[in-house]
Amino acid sequence: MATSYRVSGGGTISRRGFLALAGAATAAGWPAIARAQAREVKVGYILPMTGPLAFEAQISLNGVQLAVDEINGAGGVKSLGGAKLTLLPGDTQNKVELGNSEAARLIDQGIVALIGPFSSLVAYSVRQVTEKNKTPFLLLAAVADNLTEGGLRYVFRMQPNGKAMSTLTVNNMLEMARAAAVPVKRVAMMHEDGNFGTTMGNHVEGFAKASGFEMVQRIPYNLKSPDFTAELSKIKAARPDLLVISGYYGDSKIIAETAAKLRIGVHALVGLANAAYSNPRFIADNRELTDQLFDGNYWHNPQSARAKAVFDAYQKRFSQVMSSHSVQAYQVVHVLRDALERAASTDRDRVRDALAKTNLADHILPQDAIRFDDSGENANASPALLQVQNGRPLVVGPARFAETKPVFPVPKWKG
Amino acid sequence: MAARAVGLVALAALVALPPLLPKYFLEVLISVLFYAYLGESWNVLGGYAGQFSFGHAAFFGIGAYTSTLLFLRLAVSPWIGMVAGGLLAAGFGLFAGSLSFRYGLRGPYFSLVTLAFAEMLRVVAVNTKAVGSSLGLSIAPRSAPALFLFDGKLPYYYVILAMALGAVLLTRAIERSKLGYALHAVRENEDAAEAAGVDTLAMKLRAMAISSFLTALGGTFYAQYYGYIDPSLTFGPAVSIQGLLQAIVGGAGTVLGPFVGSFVLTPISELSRAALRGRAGADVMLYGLILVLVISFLPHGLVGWFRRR
Repeated sequence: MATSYRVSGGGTISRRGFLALAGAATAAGWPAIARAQAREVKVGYILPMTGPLAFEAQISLNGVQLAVDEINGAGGVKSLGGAKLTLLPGDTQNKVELGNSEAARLIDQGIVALIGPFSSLVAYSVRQVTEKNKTPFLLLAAVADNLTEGGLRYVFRMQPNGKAMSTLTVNNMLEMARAAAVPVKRVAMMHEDGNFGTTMGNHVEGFAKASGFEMVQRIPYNLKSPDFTAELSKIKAARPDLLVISGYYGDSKIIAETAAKLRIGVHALVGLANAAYSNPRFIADNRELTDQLFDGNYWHNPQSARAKAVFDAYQKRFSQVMSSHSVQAYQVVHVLRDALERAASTDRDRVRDALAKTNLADHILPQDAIRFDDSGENANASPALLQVQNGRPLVVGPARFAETKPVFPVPKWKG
Repeated sequence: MAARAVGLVALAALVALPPLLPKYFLEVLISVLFYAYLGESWNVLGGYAGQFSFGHAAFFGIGAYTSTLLFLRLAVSPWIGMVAGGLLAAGFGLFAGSLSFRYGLRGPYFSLVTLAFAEMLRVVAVNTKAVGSSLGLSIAPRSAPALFLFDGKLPYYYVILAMALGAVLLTRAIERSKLGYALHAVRENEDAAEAAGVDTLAMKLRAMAISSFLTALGGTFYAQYYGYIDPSLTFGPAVSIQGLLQAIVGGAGTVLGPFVGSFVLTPISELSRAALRGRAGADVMLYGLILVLVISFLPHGLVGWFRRR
């Protein structure tokens, strides 16, 4: 991957005793950096750059990088005299304690806001660090609903949380089914048994009654299971109209393959925040299998001219299609830029107040203006409903953002 | 005498310096002490009795879950929940220990059984809604010292410092007691110890109970400090490995081994990250390389190496 990003404050470390070195770094380096009133705005990120989530983390970082360079190239933050954004990196390795220490280090270095950390379990404890140090924390990719609970003032989440993601996706599906005059009464769900899948499963089950469908099967599974024939046979026997799947890459692939082999007999296979079903790489590698799969996920607004330009810039720079993770990362940096412009200050409290008053209409997401409610959640956050058609994931709902008509019911899944 | 003076100076620094440190160093120091504590706890069984447990996460998780559930569901202060968790973990340790020791499991077989016990508890926690399943349990941050919740990091630092020092003192007392000699005998040659009249089963169980009790207290500290626990964070193999790594690198079966190990390993990991920041993965490779070198050239750990010189 041909990415290069600026690393500030780093450099090489000479060979001395590490304690002496660590001491020297404290005494001389950091306070000086923190005090420096240069024409720059330091923005920290923490992402799981190493470990099992490294691929997704890199994609997110690409989005952040694209936005930062775009802003700097266009003259920086105008209200701060054209101050440039400087990115300070942090790697969590997806570990809670590293998330904390990296966040603390970046705050020591004088960042105005922190972006990250991808996984919810790291976010839980990092939000205590940012809250205590009055540093705005812009959540990226962490979906756990209760991350914004507890009267926190400095946590903001632009993307849909678990609840919005699952409610709106199923609503979009039901609406589409009504439009096609195909009743959806019985829903089955398979989800991975970690925090993410369980959150999604609880929500879908939770509003089944209110939405007028019956949850006929709900099967949590272990990510490492090599085979899902037994689970899917059980689901087939329950004769559902829809099969909803919340999972990661490998497991979601095996589930779709097995469902095809068993001739599962549903109107559609629907991913819910699925890591595979709308992933361009997965689709390219599995053209026949993925054709006409649905997925409710973070996405961009295909009607937006700006989104098109951003996608082109991304493609040119990173030689790959921009994915939903990079879209979120790109947009979150622009939310911060907007707040910095209005705050006209690098004071963290002023930036926080500006973030809280965000009302950003010029964005690339499939939703109305970005606004934060009192808990820091984006009040208008919305996922898009996608369907793979001719090897491309296309938005089919909500209707005002749709770029094409859905194929529903999907003939190939009909037993 | 010189060693004693160095120790006192180090202790004074640990007590007096932290309020002056930047947030990052305080954060790192807390995790150093936390791992030192886990290492000391593991050391009683793994180092002194020579019973290599790979499953201390079981006790850690029991501690974390007991105090957190008592707190969230019954509003019992985690200070009390901590002791309850410790006792429960000791009970579980005695149960798991008597099963495996009675059937003569030694060496790698014992290690594997402990690993299985921890994994079993993880799966149970994932599938039990009453304990939060995979969603885990979170403790909202606020300031309430009576509930083991503090405003800021410094109080947590002193708590974990006290716990770590307490574990060191307890280990020293054990080393000099009859139990310590008996454990030493078991570790060196269990059959010979048995022949010499040492009740090896009782001694091993005693070490198991102490070790699991201490580890569980660490679990409560983790839950209170980080504010969130889930099955893989508490019962996962990473927890078991973190504890024994400090002890092995520092010197298993020595009083200060885990302490030294933690004070060397965590800074190495932090420094390799600082030196190679932005080159994702390079720092982990460097850290791994250092670990390999230490283990191959210093089989008795850092403390053992000092003693031999």
